[in-house]
Amino acid sequence: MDRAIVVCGAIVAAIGGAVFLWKVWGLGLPITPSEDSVVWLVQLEIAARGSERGSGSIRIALPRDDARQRIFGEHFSSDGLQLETRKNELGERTGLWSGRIDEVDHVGYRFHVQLFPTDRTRRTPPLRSGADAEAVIDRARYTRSERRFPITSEPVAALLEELPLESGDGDGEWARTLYAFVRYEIASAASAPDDALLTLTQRSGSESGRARLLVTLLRAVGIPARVVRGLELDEQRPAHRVWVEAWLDEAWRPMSTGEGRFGSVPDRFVRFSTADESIVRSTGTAALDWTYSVARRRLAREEVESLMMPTSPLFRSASLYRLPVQVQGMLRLLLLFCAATLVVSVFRVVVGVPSFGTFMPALLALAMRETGLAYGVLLVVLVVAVGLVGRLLLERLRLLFVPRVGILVCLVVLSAAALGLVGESFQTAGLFGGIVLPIVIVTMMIERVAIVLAEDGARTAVVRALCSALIALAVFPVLRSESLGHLLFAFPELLLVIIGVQIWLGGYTGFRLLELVRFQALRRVGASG
Amino acid sequence: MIWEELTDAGVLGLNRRNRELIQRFNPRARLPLADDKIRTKRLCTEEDVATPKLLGVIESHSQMSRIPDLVGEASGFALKPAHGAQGNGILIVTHRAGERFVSSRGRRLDLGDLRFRVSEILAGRFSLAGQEDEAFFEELLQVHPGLAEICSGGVPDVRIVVYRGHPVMGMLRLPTERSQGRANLHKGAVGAGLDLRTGELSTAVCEDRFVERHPDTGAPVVGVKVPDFESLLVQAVRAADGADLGYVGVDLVLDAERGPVVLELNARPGLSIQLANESGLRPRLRAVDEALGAMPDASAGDRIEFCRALDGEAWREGA
Repeated sequence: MDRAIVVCGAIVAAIGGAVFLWKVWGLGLPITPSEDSVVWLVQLEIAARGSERGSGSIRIALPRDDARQRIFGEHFSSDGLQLETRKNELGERTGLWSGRIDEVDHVGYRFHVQLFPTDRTRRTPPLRSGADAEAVIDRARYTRSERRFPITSEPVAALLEELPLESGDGDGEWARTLYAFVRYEIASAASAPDDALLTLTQRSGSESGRARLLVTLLRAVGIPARVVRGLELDEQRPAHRVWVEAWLDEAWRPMSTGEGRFGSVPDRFVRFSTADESIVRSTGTAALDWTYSVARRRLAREEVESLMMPTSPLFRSASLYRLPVQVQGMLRLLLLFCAATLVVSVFRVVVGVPSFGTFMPALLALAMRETGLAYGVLLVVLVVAVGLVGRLLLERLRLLFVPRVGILVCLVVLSAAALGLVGESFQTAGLFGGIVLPIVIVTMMIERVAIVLAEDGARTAVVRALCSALIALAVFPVLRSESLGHLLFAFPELLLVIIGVQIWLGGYTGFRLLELVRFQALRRVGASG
Repeated sequence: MIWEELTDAGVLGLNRRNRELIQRFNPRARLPLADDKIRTKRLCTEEDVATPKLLGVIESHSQMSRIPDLVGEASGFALKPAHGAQGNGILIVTHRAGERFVSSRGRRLDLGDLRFRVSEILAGRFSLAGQEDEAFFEELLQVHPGLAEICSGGVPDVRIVVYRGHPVMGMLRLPTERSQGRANLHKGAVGAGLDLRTGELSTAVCEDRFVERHPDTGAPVVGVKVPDFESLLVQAVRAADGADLGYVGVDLVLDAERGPVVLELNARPGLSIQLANESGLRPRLRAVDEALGAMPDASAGDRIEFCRALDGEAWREGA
């Protein structure tokens, strides 16, 4: 290797490495993401279309701090509506935007939340949501009959007669019995009723319906209970969730019939409000739509601290974390892809593995990232097979090249759509999502495979395909690695190290490992000379 | 270890070829000359190098109707993409059966099949980077009687690697049934090393194994002498000089009537030629570098003589 190459690569890599080390040792940024510093950025965007009346309001329940969650860095935005935040007697907040809603108005709410995982080893979970303020609760308020909780109705009374509620047992056992009834005897269906009584009589209810039924039953036996609404933090599909809290042993205990949890809810649930109403509501609007986007971030200690202080600027350092949530996700992937190119370089330059297209295996791995490996491979094989068959059929029509590839794209999209439907029925969502991105790549791959098949025969094509798969397999864990993703996102200067190594690889003039096999026969030449 | 043994043998690897030869001696601006067979042909004509006769070029779909005129009465011809790689997309018609054309693979084609192949070529299906391409028809070459005995299906060609004006290594490539009439080693053709002094075939490989005889005909390959060898080397060096490429593979065919003609230039010649010659390229390249240092302005004839004098054991002593 040239000295210039060695030096050049070393300088670039050293610069990147030095910045990295300075950030780690000098600034104390954590290298590995630790659970304690998991912070989520949640963004709620609402679009409302005004009605004839002209004026209207949009109302959202706002989360607040408790033992499991800390809310900070809140940000409200609106096109032109007046914002007012209200607090009820429990300390729960509501954001209320009101004013003239013309054509379409947009409202945004963004916050950071730091979650503290519940300790499952302890029998009483540390959830004391609002317990500080409610050391003594208003029992009457949480045991009374309401329109949504018809505790005195006939079917409820009849059910309580049937259930094995022994008088000697405490509230805890009773609550568990009632919970078990709703969990196992009431079916869950998204389209089923929201109403407690209907849920009971039809033995089937929505998440809300089951939660309301459980609260009704708890209140009917004198246990204070309430419905809780919140958000499940899921980067792909953030969703509203409903669960129940019951006052047992001087604390509010959560339970979720949907998740099958008694005494806790999943760590990723953020609690919003105990008012049994939708988190997003509106009056005077003709249509209302909202979307959540959620991104997991891992923050440096001082970043968290600065974020915690509302008076200081939100982000001080030049960190990629300043970017909008959606961009962050994409960028994280792109950064990982840079690492993937390094793997591809090694395979091509050092090992000498042939493949279809230089970076095609890496792009395939990118596609499989969404679907998981088994489905990903299946998917690609199926789609390529469909494409090849389609291409063979098209061969007879002697179509021109570009329209033919266009037809192939259509075929690939159709087969991907069919796979999406299959995926839907098998509950493997994401099967579809994986193939959408690289559709054109897959199509071009079909063309390449077809040419190699025709020109070099099936053996070469199969070998080439297997080699491509091998590279894709090697790239796959790189693209999936969460810690590598964090590392590159928190320390983008590491790309300089990657560039440095690529410079070295680019200047490598030694044998490729497979050439050692290929030129084996020439060994004796050296020996004899 | 294999690594050291191959290094001692002076074997050239792909990484080194790419970085130290192609990037260094084949400037990008000169590559189109080698990549476009029509331009190569024009260049050769200017340099007084013989090439197969061009029957005609089809540059766009609108010229497709000219195909029958171009082909004319010729019983056999070759249809090629101007920018094809590794012989992909080449169609050889050996003779006619009534209205139909018979390909070297024995397929019977009508005019529609020809037009389809031309349109595929124009759309860039076979071109190096998938760019739009041109198709051309060329006269069919006939196997030289001196080589007829060791041929089966397909015309053999000679690859001469010319490094900085010096013909450093050569091989004869014989199509086999396995290679389906193509002369590419990785497709199963036989590669036979050439003794530059005599033009004799010294060694031969097929599918990465050394052979003495042609796998299809059984005729002995080693020891056969390539006719017209001197003029072949002259043509190769002249073509390489004209193209101004420092590391180039010149592909020639020995035609029965016209003698050596240049088929194409390859600016990224493969490395299997080392296997065919049972010899590494690097000592030869080094010898040329040294000779150029001593005598930078040697004539083509001198350069050829230099290489021929060095072939055989002399190269190896340099290793």
